[in-house]
Amino acid sequence: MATMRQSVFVERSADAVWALVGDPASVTAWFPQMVAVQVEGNQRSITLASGMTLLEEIVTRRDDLRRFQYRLTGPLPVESHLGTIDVIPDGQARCVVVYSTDVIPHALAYVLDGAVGDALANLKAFMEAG
Amino acid sequence: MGRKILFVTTDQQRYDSLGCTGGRIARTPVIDDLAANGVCFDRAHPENVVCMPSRATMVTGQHVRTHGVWMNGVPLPLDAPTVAGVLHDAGYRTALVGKAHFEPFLDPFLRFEENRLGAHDQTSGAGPHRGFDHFELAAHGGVGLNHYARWLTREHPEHLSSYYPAIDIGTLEVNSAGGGDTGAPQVANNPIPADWYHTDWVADRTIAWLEGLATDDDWFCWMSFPDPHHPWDPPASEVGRVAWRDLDLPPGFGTSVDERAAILDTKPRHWRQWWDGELVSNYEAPARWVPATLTDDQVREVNARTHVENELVDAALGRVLAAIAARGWADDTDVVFTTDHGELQGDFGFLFKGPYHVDALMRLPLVWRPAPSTGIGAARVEAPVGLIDLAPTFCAIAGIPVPEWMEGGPLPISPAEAAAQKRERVFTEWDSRHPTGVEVHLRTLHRDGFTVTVYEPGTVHDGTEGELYDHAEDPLQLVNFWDDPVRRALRDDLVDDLRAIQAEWRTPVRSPQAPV
Repeated sequence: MATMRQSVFVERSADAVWALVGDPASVTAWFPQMVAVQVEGNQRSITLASGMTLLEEIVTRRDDLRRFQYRLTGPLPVESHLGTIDVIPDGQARCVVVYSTDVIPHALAYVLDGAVGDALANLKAFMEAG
Repeated sequence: MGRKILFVTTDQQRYDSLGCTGGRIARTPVIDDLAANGVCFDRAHPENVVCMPSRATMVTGQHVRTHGVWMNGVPLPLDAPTVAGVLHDAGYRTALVGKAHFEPFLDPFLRFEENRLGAHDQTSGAGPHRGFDHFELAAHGGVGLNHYARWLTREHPEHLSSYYPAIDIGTLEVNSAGGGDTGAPQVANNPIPADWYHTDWVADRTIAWLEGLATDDDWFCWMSFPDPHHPWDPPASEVGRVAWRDLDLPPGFGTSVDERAAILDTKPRHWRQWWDGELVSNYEAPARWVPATLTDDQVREVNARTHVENELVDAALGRVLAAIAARGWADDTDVVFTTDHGELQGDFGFLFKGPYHVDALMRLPLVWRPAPSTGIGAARVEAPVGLIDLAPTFCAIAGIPVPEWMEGGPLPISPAEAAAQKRERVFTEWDSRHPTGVEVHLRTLHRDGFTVTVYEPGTVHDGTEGELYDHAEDPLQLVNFWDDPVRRALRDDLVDDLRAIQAEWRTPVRSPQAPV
């Protein structure tokens, strides 16, 4: 299992950031290259700019912990995957967003982690501009 | 009107693969003719032995630690200066046809411009990308985010599955499946007609771009063939050019399993660990392939197919040179031929590439045929040069001052000029961090006929290991003199020299965005 982790400090409250990150239907607002999203129950499908549609299972959405977890189920050849996003307060007006990726096969680790890096940078810019 | 520049690269080609560099199997009359009428370099090294870092060095003229592409999967920064940009700004028309690979291939999110251009079948974006006006991209097969794949899908969809899948789509690892007559990894029979194979496509698209130029345009065209990089699946119609059963085994392969094992045991431990299938240090070879299983016949078949692919490249280059002549540009066109790095191709019992700084991967074919109108005579240069010197050479050809950010210098046109330039050493380095956490770091200097490699601490090495080869005494690098007390002073001198020329890393060191 390859395990990767990235984080970013956002100059906004944890509640404000969680309102966006914790909403599975809002992912296109902050994750680049995601152009459409559909959520039905615990199933989410995301259409990428490449035309590929990622299929995901939502595993955890806990407002009290501000934690969102999901699994990629296709069409990428994922044997095992867990994406975890934690929004952790750092005072009243600042928080840190920690995005972890655990995945098999290893070859996907850098691909997913690279996209996560873009997403966190975009999230910070989006939140702090608003 | 200035000199035009045709920059021709292959991918993963050994020094000894051409007639002009001692090869006896592949017939390469076109490149041999360029060498006979130009400058042939006998000790050209890459600054890194995998594609993305080496190509980044070629296009920037910078060391790896300056441009920052330290392993495959790390994209060249978008603001990196390039020789194509310099030439473009000087009025040159610029194109790259074939394999670019300044940005990762594996890109489901379509984050990278090369892949966006390919996926959308566009030859340009909002403006020049990395200094190139025009891109038409290809890779090692018929699928992927590139123009060749789009063309094949559109024109010959019946051949989409003709190529061997270089990447196993189930694991996204380099495919270890065997084929051909011997079951060698990455060998397959490819029914695609030669005219539709990517080698001919690259030549066709190069010719088409050249035909669209005005007669008085100055131009720089990087024609970048994906071969002879694996998979070894040339068109089936061409495989009979070289009968694998007739080939001798390469001298670097050794005569027996026991001999190979004994040689590997004198080298730093990752050599033997890979051979035994106990270590996967990098992505560039099939993770599930155990080199110790490589048979004599598999080596012969891989070599035969490589020779075939090299012949096809040579013939394709001949067609492009004929098209240039037909435009009336022959006297004013410089042609530079090289590759990004070598291929183990049987040496020491291995195929593919990795953290192994020996001639198989580091000694490259490099031929520069200056424009005949310059009157520059033929020469062979044995002094060490690097791919880092290509970008400054292109500036010199164009009559443009070499920018300060380039770290090489224009290639010498003779041994005398090489001496005047104090061409004494060339530096190559390797860094890799596998997603499993395995890290390997090598720093290598070639000078005075010796190659010394020091290993920095990683997860496999503790920082005390090294390699020292005497090419005059041991041209196959079978004997590692690192621990030889007789050569300790020599080793120390070479290591001191290596440390003295190492630059600082550009910081921060950037993360890989894909395995390749």
